[in-house]
Amino acid sequence: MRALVGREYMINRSYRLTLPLDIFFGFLNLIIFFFISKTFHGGASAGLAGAPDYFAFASVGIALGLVIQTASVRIAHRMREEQLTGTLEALVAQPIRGSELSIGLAGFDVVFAMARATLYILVAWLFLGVDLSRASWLGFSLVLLCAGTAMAAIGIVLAAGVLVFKRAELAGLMVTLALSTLGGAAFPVRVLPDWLDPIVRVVPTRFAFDGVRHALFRGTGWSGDAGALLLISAVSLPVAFLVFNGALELAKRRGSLATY
Amino acid sequence: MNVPGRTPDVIISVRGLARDFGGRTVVGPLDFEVASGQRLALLGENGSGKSTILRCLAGTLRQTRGHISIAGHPAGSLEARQVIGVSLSQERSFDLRLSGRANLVFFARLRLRDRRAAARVVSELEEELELREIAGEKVSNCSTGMTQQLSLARALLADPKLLLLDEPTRSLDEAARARLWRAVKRRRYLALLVATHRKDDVIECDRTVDLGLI
Repeated sequence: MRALVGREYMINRSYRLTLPLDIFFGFLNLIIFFFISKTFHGGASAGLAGAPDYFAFASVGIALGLVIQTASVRIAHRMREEQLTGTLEALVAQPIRGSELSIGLAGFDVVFAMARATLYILVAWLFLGVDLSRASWLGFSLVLLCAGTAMAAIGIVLAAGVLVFKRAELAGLMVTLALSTLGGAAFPVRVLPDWLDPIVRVVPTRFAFDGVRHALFRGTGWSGDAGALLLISAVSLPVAFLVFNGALELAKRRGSLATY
Repeated sequence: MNVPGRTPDVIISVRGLARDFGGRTVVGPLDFEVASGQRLALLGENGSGKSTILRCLAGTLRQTRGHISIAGHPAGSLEARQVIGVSLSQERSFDLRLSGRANLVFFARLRLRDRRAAARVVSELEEELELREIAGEKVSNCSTGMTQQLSLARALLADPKLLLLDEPTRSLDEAARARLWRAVKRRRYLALLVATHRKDDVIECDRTVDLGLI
């Protein structure tokens, strides 16, 4: 698995602008939301999961949304790249398990996304006036880690979709958008229609956003969210591996591993 | 390793292997065995199913019917993949952004897990196959023949018991072809299954299976 993560790093580094542009893209998002929040300055801060204002709320949405998007969509995207570059069959012929392959393909991107998320939160704190005086950095780190793990399960299922249907990235983007919206990335979930409430209560992203906001803005109350994310990971990861192995087996039966 | 007076270990055992595509049987039914140290050539016209057989043995394609055993393990199992080195006919099986060496070390790490051991094994193979210059090139700058030499090196990583080669000399010059066969013969224990059109490759093998006649 470390070999796969190392290779991802080398490939990313070989495209000189990829890493700096990825980081810059997040800064742009942060700045856009900074000015949006200034436009609506003075709005009620109730129901913002402890965030003192809308920009503080949104900065967590941007930072964590990145981890969620990376953990879920990037595995599928990398799987598609392996198909297109012709390396997937060579990988499958190696003595590695399906679980190692799926996690290994996303490992670098997820770790990089977590580092970027932390950087954006630091920038929001140090340069854009977000108050983190009560932050629990331990809580922030643990919830971030748990969120990345829980979302990786969704990413592995999406990668299984790519193995079977080839072009399934759009489905991945839609899933990520839905999960981010229902989890409260850009606005509080209380403004969503009541009939969505049963879904909002169980989506893993809600625990992730709430947990990070509790850790950063209150310093307490994040452990329940981290526990919920751990529980979700413990159930969903083995299921995701089963689905991925099933898709791999189907591709071998169809003879479609070497095709795109 | 073959021991005189003792039956060599059976590495490949194929019983009733058949593969269908779109309701049409393109391979088999086929039976054969290859023991440790034996070299078997698969002959046949284009489309006769040579690559399909190699893929079934490598575990990247599932046979429709029949049974394949690799060193006592079902084809495609983790244990079977551990003893197989494979070079398939597909030209694009390396990451084009990385050097040949980085690609080889990556694949070696998948097998050996340890980075230093992987680097050492790759270095030894570069020496043996005279690949130093090619390995230093980005794969995107390599010709088909150069990539094919890298592919052989990848197949030989971590001392496989079974080597599956799909038209391995198709784009090689004479010197590279000679290096390939020297490397195979140096590994006396190695079972080899090679799909080829070339007569000079066939004469390096002990037996042939002509798919056109089956």
